[in-house]
Amino acid sequence: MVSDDDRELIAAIRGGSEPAFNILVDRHQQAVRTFLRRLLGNDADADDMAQETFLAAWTHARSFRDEGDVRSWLCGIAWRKAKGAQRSWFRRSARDTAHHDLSSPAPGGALMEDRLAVKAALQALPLEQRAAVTLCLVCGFSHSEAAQILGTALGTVKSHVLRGRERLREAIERKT
Amino acid sequence: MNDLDNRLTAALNADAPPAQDARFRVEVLLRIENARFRRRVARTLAVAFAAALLLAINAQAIEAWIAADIWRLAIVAVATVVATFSLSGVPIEALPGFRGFARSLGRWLNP
Repeated sequence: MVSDDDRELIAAIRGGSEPAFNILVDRHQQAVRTFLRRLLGNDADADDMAQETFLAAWTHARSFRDEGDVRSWLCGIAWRKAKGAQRSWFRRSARDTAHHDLSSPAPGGALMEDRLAVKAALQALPLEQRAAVTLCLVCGFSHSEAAQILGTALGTVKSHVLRGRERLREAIERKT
Repeated sequence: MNDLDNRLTAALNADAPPAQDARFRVEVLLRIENARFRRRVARTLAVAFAAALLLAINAQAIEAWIAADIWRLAIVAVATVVATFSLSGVPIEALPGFRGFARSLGRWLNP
């Protein structure tokens, strides 16, 4: 999944190119924000952390290893930030989530009840399991890519995804 | 994939952020500018503090050096003006080619 184009962008960003950085943000903001939104359970906090992630990417573009995938690298930064800020962010997120859920409009296609049930079940999962489920089932990463992002063993990620998926399915079944 | 899986996929992918979001990009760029500004202020304060400390320690020696020849006062005045402009960071960076020179120097020092 290595994109030569992304590598060129990173090379340009290392040289201080803001236009290249703009393209990188446009190209990957959706993946990073989706990952953090599902992980934190609060859109505003997630977007704030996503901005911090891209700021870190700009500042530490040299830390990107050329054989890697840029999207994985960005999600890895986001994961480390989320884990580092775990206490304060997640305590506040848990407090605000209920109100936010009710105030958000229903998206087209998905049933509101399913969405709320899945969101609540996702937030009830342990942090690493939630991250693994989000990366594999929402962001479309493979198990090995998710393991690399989370810095954990492949078997652990597979187990997290399997169990997490079951918990989410159960949450939908309970609603029906 | 059964109905339950379809519903799970739909629920997980609901309410995703837009593929293109100019406001998000602008907010990221604002953070970069703020970080640059904070770095510049910190650097300026550190240099100003060091310069003030050096001047305070060597005040008597500088005074004696100026007293020996009054024209040396002009040298001190020019040095003070250059230091003041350098600390602000703006005029020096506005000089043509300075940014490129600074980047090359940075790359040479930290390849």
